[in-house]
Formats: sequence, structure tokens, C-alpha cells
Amino acid sequence: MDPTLEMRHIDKSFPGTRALKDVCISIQPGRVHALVGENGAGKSTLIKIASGALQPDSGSVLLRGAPVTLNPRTAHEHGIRVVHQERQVAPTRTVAENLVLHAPQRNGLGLVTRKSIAAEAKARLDRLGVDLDLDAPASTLTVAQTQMLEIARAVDFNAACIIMDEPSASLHRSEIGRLFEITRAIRDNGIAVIYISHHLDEVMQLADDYTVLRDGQQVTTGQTADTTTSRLIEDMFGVGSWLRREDLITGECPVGDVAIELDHVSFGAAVNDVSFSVRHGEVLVVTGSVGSGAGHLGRLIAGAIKPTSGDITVAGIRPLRRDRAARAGIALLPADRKRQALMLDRSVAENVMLAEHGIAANPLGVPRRGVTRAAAVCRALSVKTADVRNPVRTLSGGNQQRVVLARWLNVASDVLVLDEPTVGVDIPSKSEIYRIVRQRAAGGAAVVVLSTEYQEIQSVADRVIVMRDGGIVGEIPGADATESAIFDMELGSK
Amino acid sequence: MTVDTPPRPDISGVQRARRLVSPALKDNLQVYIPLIVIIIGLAVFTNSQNANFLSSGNIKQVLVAHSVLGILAIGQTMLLVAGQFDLSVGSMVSFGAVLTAKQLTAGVPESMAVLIVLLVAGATGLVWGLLVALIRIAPFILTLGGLAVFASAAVTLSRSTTIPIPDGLLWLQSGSLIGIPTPILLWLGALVVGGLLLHFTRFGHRLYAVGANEEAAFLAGISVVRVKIIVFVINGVLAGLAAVVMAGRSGAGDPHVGGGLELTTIAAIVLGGASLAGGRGTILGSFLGVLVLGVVTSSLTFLNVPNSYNQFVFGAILIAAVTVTATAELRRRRTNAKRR
Repeated sequence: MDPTLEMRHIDKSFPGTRALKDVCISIQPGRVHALVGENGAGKSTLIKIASGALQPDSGSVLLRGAPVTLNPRTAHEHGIRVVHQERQVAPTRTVAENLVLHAPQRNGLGLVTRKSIAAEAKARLDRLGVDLDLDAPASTLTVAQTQMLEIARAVDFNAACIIMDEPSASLHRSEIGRLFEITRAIRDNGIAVIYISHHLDEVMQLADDYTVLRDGQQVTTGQTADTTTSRLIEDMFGVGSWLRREDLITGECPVGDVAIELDHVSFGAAVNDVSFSVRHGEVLVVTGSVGSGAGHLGRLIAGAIKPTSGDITVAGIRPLRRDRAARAGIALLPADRKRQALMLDRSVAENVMLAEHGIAANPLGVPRRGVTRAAAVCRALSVKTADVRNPVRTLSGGNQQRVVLARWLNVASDVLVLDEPTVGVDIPSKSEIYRIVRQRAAGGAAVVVLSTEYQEIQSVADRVIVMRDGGIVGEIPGADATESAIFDMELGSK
Repeated sequence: MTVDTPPRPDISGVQRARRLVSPALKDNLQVYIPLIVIIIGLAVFTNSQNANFLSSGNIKQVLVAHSVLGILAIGQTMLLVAGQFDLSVGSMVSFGAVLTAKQLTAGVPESMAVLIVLLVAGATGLVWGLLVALIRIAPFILTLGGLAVFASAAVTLSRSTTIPIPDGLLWLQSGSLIGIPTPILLWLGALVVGGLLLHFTRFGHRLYAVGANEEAAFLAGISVVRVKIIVFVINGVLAGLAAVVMAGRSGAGDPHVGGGLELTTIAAIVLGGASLAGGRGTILGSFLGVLVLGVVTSSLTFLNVPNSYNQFVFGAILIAAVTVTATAELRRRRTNAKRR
């Protein structure tokens, strides 16, 4: 049988990076194909090509054996559906209306009625064994239910290939079983599934086939029955391509006074009675899945939000206002680079100098003083840019992240809060960021890294705090913070 | 190439020129040059039909007539750069003009009357700023409400009639310095101060940062709340100044005189390169936008085209300008997308 979707020798470059190199992948009907790789490995580029959102530079896409040129419309007509990571429902409309949002069935008179919508919606849900109240507004659903709604919406009667982009990322671990059931139901309807995840335990449990991407290249492809989790890890990260803990942490680091102290801190329902401290010269990693409260901790320490109860002391002040905290040298690298950190249309120089309030743009451009300074900082972090007066939008993800980091290294910060610092960043940039983090710690800075990437945690952490449901469930020394140790602690089995 | 300069092989004159023209300057020139061409072209053409057009008398008259708009445009540009805007300035001009006239006819000393108008307008800006910054009301809706409130207050205070100012504010009506009428001087003064503030101070830099990405500005340590409040107050005070100029120039407090000025101002600013989405715009660009409007209005009068066509021609220029800008932007995105 011809594969539902086949991609042959796909190449794709962005300015400054080669996102995909000679990738060949074939997706069979009635099977779950896991696409595995770190952030920035090329997974999202590949699915954008599969769904027609991007065109490959070279290579071909075949549907059921026939070569096609895809754009978003033709991809949809051919039955390719993407369930995105971000939820995309119309919150004020009902479940039934959301299900048939794109092309509701008409009745004999050619009209769309409540009845015709309900009938189609029910048939769609029943096919996947999903139980949702058809008349409930989408805004009343839980995150997991919303996701089921979106999956059911994607799996219409025309669907041939469902692409699920990190579907487990926003789910609590207890909800993943349900996701697996639905995914298997889709597969058993003869539909091909591309399942993207970097949680290898999920891949081993759910997928029939797998492909590992690393740095834009296809490392391995095959059946999950023929591989093991440890082999997948090796494929994902490569041997030797990664800055290992031994390379980053050399000898004993002298640890200084307490720099950050949290005393019974709560923030609404998201953070619940958390206490810990971080010393100068120390890198603390806080980890936990979405909803664990780890993300809020970073914003609390940086003064971007105020605790509802408890005391925080950072660098000798109580960080209750972000502007004062920033002036006291508390750096914050937010998780969402584009939305929370960069002025995309403005120059690299202005973005570097943002935290310093140092340069005013005038109609002639960025003042020379700012250009010189920014260029020097960028050189120190090896930011690849032809001219720091160019918009930061033109840089690759890794270089953009270095710009944000450069912003805070430009003002002498001795407390660094880094929220998922290497999301969407290429491997050389990752290593560079880890090197800088350790270097700043060695120079006496207190560093808090919020991370969910096991490899990252092992590379940089002196200590690891594991969070779940807003509270701390345990602490592990960095050297012992293996994937399974963290995972067990999160599940509470130890 | 002289001996002293470091060797820079393979750089042609064109490339060197490109290096000198920074990307930001290039963007700005793409806005300024067409506007300057329109202004000069239209002025030269009209002058060839009627040689009085470029007489110093007419130039002064055009500038005086657009000084109110020009002063409003300065504050509004700062608001737009920070991603905010204020629709209430037009009716604030009406209200302020009536308030000025009312005070002067009641015998309040001139300087006191002017100060009170500036204070009232500044306080109004403060209220808008507080509401926008602290409880995050959308400026559009809020100042639309303000527009209605002050339009009505102007009519109520004046009992729906124009209040003449028989012998007040003569320095505005006929005063001048080295031959330049006072309203123009005030406008130029505000331009210089506004230009310095927006383009050469930290405050100006923060306005761009807040407009370009508010969340990023906040997390980088900029006090977004304070920046928003201050810019609304500045805009309010400038609206008060515009009201006083309006009252003095026309020698009366007309309760309808500012009607529609807010939209004309925003149109001129957008023509000058600002974006309603924030993060873009320059004082010089907005000045050129106001000048285009002035030259169009005056030219049509000189060419004996009925007044009713003024808005038509200006509107057509605005539509053409934003169409050209949007097309260029779209093309840029497409080429970027292809490369991506």
C-alpha cells in the first residue's frame, strides 16, 4: 500500500540556519509515526511543509504515491490536519459549533441549523469515543477537554493524516492516558498519525514508527519495537555534540551569601507555600510540567508579579515592582522570546540596550554610541548579524535568544532568572547559553533556570527543585538529576 | 583610497553609501521623501497658476491656519508611538476655546485664564492616563467617551453660541516676533521640544519600547504605567495649548471649532509614517503630514476649487499613501517568507 504521506529528500533553509537537510519520511495509514527531536531540531519546519504552510527548497511531497505541491488549502483538501500546540477554539461558541466550525453540514433546505450541527457533531465525537457536552460553551471546558475537542474537529470524515504537535505538553500526566486512547482510536480508523513529542516514554508506548531529527538532519527512522529509550536519547542528542556537565562545571564553585530567599510564598492557586533560597555562585533549576507553578516562580523572583502571601528577598530588596527589581540587577529572560522579550521590528542594538534605557532612536537611526556598545556586546556572545542596526526579526532563533541574554549581560546583573532559555534554539547556541550561565555563576551571580528539558537540567544545575501543583515535591543535587529521578519525583512514587 | 584608511577591499561607492544610510533612516526617508515631493510639487504647480501662493503672506497664513492641528499632532504622535491614542483632543479644543473666552469675558486675567485651560486639559490627560495604565481601559473607547463629554460641555458652557473675545489674547491674534506670527512660533517651539523629547531622551526611547512590545518593555524593567500616564498628560497639555491658540487666533470661543480635529490629526500622523499599532512614527514625519494637508487646502483655494474638495483630496492622498505602504510591507513579508 502507498504511504498516506511521503516526503523525499526535503531541504529547507532559513536566513542563517539550515532547518532541514535531506529528510525522507513516509507515513503509513493506520499507524502512529512519532517525530522525535529537541526544540530546534526541525520538527515544526517539517510539519509546516507537510501542511503546506511552508514550501521546501528542494525535495518532493507525495500523497498516496502521487507527487503534489501543497499550500494550506490543498493540504486541507487532501485530508491533512494539524492539531496545534496552542488551543484554537472559539470560546463563546458551543462544543458542537466549534466541532463543525470550518464547514458545517447543511440540511435539505441548504440551511445550517442547530439540529444539523448537533447531528454531525455527535457522529464525529462517537467515532473517537469522546464524551463531551455538545451544548457547553467551549470556554467552560478544561484544557484537556478543549484539546479533545480540537482533535475531534481535526478528524472529520475527510481526514487522512492527523499531525499532533506536542499534544501532551499542556496536559497533566494523569490526562495523558486519555490522549493515548483517542490517538489509538484515530489510528484504528485507518488514519495516519504524526505524533510529535520529546517525551520518549510516550513515544515508546504509543508509536508504531519513529523518526529522530537532530539539527535538521534525519538521524534514524524505524519501528519503535526495534529500538529502546536509551538508543533514542543517543539519537536525539548525539554523542559528543552536547556540552556535558563535566565540560561546564569544573571543580568546586565557591558559593557565597544568600541572594534569593523565598519564605512561604504563595501566588493565587498557582504557587502554594514555597520556600527556598539560592546563593551567589549557584545555579538552581526549578522544573515541573505545565501548571506546576514553576513558570510563576520566575516572575515572582523578578518582581513581574506580586505574591499573594509570603516574603521574597532578592539582592537585598523585596521585588514587588518589575522596574525596581530590574534596576537592582535582577535579570529576567522570559520563555516566549517573541512576545515577551523582543521588539521584533526594531534594531538589534535597541533590543540589546532595552534594559538599560540607554539609547533613544531618532529619525536618523540608532545613535553611534549605542551601535558601538551593542556591537561589542553582540561580539562577546558571538551573535551572528551583519549589522546591529538591522531589525532583530532577521536573526535566527538562537541568535535572537543571545540578543536577549546580551541585554542582561550589558547591565551588570547579579541575579539571573532564565525561563526556558533554550526553547527553539540551535545546538551551538544552547551550548553557548549554558557556558554563559555557568560563567556568570562562577563570577558570583545567583542563577535560577526554569526548565523542563532533562538534558539541560543535567548540564547546568547545581541543585534541582521539582514542583507539582504549585508546591515543591523534592530537591535533588544536580549531579544526580537524571531523567528518571526527576520523573519519579514528579509522579510522587519516591 | 588614502594611505591612512584601513584597507577595505571590494567595497564600491554604492555599498559605502548603503552602510552610511542606516536601516532606520532608510525607512524614514521612504516616508519623508514622497511627502516632501508632494508639498514642493503642489506648491510649485499652484504658484505657477497664481504667483501669490508662495508669497510670505500666504505661507504665514497657511502655517497659522494649521498651527492648532500641528500642535495637536505632536502630542498625538507621542501617543501613537507608545501604542495609545486620544480621540478627545478635538472636543477638548472646542471646550478649551470656550473656557478661555468665558474666563476672559468674566474678567479673569489673561495669564491666569491660559494657565487654567492648560491645567484642565492636562488634568484630563492625567485621568485618561490613569484609567488606561492602571485599569487597562482601551484608549479608543475611553477617549471616544471623552470626545462626547467635552463636545457637550463646550456647547453647554457657551450656551451654544460663539463667545467673542473683544480685546483679549491680542498677542496671539496679531502678535509676532521677527516677522513670524505667534501661533507659528508656539507650534515651532512645541515641535522642537517634542522632537527632542521623543527622539533624544530616555523617555522617548521608552515610548517606542512600550509601543513596540509592551510586555517586553515591562519585563525589561520599564515602568509602563508611568510612561503611559506621562504621555497622556503631555498630550493633554498640548491639547490645552492648541485650544488657547485656537481661541486667540479666531478671537472667539466657538463650541464647535475643534469638531473632527482628532481624526484629521491622526490622518496627518499616519501619513507621516506612524502606525496605529504603535512603535512607529516621528515628529518630523507628522509635521510633514500636517504640511501636506495645509498645502492641499491652500492650493485648492488658489486654484478656485470649492472648499468641499479639500477633505476629498487629502483623503485620497492618505488612501494612496497607506496603500503604497501596505503593498511594500506585504511584498517585504512575502520575500521574507520565501527565504524562510
